[in-house]
Amino acid sequence: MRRLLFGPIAGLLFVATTPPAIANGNISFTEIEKAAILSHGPWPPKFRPDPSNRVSGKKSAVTFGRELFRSRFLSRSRRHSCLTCHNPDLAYADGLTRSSAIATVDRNAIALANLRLNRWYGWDGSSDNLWAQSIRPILDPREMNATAGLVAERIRSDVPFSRGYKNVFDSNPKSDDNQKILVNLGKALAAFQETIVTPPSRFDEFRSALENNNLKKIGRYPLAAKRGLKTFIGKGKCNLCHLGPNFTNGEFDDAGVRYFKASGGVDKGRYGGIQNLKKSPYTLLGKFNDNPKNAPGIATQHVARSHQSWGQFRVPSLRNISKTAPFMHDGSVPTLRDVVRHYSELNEERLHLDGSGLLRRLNLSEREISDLVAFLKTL
Amino acid sequence: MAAMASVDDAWSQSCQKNAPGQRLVGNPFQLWFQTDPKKIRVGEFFKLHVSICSIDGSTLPKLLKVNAGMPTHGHGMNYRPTVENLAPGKFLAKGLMMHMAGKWLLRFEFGQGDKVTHLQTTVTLK
Repeated sequence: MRRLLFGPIAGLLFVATTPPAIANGNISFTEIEKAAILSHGPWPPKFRPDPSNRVSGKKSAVTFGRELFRSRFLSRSRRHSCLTCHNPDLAYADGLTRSSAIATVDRNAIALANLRLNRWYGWDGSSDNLWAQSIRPILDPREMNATAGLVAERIRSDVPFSRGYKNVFDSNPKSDDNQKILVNLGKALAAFQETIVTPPSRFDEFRSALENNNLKKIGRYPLAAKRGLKTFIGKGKCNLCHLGPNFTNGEFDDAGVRYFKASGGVDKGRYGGIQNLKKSPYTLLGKFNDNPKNAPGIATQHVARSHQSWGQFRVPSLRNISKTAPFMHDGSVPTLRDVVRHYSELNEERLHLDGSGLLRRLNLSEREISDLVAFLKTL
Repeated sequence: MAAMASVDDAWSQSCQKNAPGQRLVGNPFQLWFQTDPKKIRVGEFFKLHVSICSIDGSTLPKLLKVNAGMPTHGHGMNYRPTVENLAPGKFLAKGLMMHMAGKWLLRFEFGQGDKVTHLQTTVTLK
């Protein structure tokens, strides 16, 4: 099988001998591995407005949504904003094990980035669209503890916000009902959050160089990261779930993390997420979807709750991962090295009895763990 | 729209010998199917146009369910497809999505009276 050779002197060897051979200290990739690597790009993807949100991609909505995101105006106590748990200095996460506003919640704050690519939102996928997910913390008694009536009244009585609302939605909040105002605020918040896109990473530079056979740039990518990448798509099979340009299949799995909540009881994970989704008035199947023809909610129509869904949590994107510690749905894993070690030493008895047989202990060496971490840090 | 039209064309000719698409042999019928879009991608929803074609002129069974799973991983799809019977022997399955690369077993379930039968085939996603 033809192998591609990369390393500090790869260029010389590549010209001198075709096909190249493996040399000490260099990393080679087979054509199959190369195809696997290229499947993680290009990045960033072209922005496509969300058809279910008529103000998605609209400049005025992005501006208004940004103001709402920063403002404490949406919380009952006026003490909390979206920034409380999604701090731009912390990759729009909060660095805490479990987030805390009025009370501590059961899960870790998901970093907000590249959200337009999601099919589901939240660790359990309770929402099938970003505007619904943006409404959720406004209403959660542990977070902002507001109601549709409260936020609608505040919008109606605040001159700048009322003006902003009219400007974006071409509608007077005094004549819109409470639910419509709440959903519109969710849509403005979504329009802003859709603009949070991670820039091309060191991995993307490497991937692009690989695609264009730019040996000089390929040589700049650290050797440890190349070895880690090889493990990621090889022995580790990490790319079975963390696939594509956003390094996720957008679905849910049991990663062998505890599902007992710190507050007591069991976190149902995806099982509860589907229950919540089916009860929600804010899905793509509901009346607030602005374009059911182009956003028909196929996933929501067909999503199936099964026994396997218990304790499953979203497969997160790995982009920007080095900036979003701690990890897992409950923030129980402090560092990236601990995450890799978790999969290396996986307690298979901890996995769901009826779950998939996908996850197995990887038994990685210390060097393989370090290499995988080095690779993940380049995302 | 062009892709849709070609699937529809193939569907209308599905019981003819050389119709494009895949064919599975049952007893005493044949199953013809084509995916829409034609190329299935990991993580993307697709439909199945299905025809049941009689071999010996006997009554055709009805397509009841379509499902898929990865035997080596021990999991199925996260979605439950629906099946519509659009015309005698012609069915449309919606809501299929394979969320991982690898070998999937695509399984068709038929009913005729009290009798339930299955046909299956392998789909490999890269």
